[in-house]
Amino acid sequence: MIDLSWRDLRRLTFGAVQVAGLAVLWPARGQEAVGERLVLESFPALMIEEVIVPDPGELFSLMDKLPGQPNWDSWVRRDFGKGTMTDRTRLALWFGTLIADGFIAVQAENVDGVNKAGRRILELAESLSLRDAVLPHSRAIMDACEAKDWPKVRRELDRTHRTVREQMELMRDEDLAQYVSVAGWLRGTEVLTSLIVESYSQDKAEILNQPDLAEHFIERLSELEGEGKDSEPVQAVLAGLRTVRQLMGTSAEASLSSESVQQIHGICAGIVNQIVPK
Amino acid sequence: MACVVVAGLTISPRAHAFMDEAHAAIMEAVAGHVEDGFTIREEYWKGELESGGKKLIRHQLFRGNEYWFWLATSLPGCEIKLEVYDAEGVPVTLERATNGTVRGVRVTPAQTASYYILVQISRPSGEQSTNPPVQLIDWALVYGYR
Repeated sequence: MIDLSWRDLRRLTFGAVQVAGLAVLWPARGQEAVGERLVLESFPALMIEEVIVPDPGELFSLMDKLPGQPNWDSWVRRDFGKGTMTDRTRLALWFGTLIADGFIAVQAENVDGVNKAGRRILELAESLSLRDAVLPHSRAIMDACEAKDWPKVRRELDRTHRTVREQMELMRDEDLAQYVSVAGWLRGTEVLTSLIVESYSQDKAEILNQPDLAEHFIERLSELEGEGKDSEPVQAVLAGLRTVRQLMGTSAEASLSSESVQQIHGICAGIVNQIVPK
Repeated sequence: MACVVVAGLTISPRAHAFMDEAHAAIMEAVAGHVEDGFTIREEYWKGELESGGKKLIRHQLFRGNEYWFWLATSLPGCEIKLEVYDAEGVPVTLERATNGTVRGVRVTPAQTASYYILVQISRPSGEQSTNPPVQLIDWALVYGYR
């Protein structure tokens, strides 16, 4: 196995981008000169509040670039939660974990896992009155999975999340859109932390340096006014996020200790277990 | 053109229609990057700016990934500025590219952390401001990673 350091990886990616095709598509292109420093404190009023949460694939692909092959397949669910429910808060949280489960199955290139996740996503979409919006994505996921076109499956999972968020916002269900996002992040973090602990390195632990994202979710969930906010699972999510935020420390401390990673895993796993019905 | 003023915000219906044009222009321009293994995110930022106005976006980036950010407006001939800074305000843009109304910058983060993306769009120099006096410029910002 070739053991590449981050420096090696960065050199490789720098080289790989210098392909002739891009130069044709992007005629005016050049290496950037060093620009002026920005005084960030001068910009508070100009800051855009909208946060785009990284998709799970953005984090998972980093694990595959680092030494040590993660066992994604061990995290593909054999069943994707049983039964049905009518509580829309719980449904939205469950839906969020399912999107992340789809990304996990893709990372494992597990056809059966992707198909099961795709079917369950459609079933939950129906319970959330979003079947028509999600059906084209569900079909595209199955088709791309059949063709083992994994980048396309990832794209469709990302599209599914965006469609669901937009539809929920149209239906004035912004709360539910937040629940989908945070649950997906928690399920992704649960799996990531487990794989990091299995073969700990500072490079891997640095992936968890996301205190601002944890803070973003805390702020958003705290601002919500719907009746779901006081429900047991949402309160568990909020309490867990506050501890995770503390453990993630500040951006200046790039890598978490193995113990902190293990603690974050325990918190995320506990929350996800509450969300996904047995 | 009629404008609607809601809670202090000036919203131009025409600009709203054009926001998707800016996004569409980016998606057309980045096809080559997809072939090169970049995943283009479905979620994107969009909005409107007065000419010369700036916006700052905080975004989580991961060391080990390579990123391209693309900014566009539907209004031809505008000056488009797009920069990425670290938490200390130090510019981290490695490379830039322009294709028509689309401006792209490449970043390979030195650290997994929050970064700041500066968006600035100005009308073509010499163009007179028309009615309404403050006409907003639409914009869209998309990113991709590999």
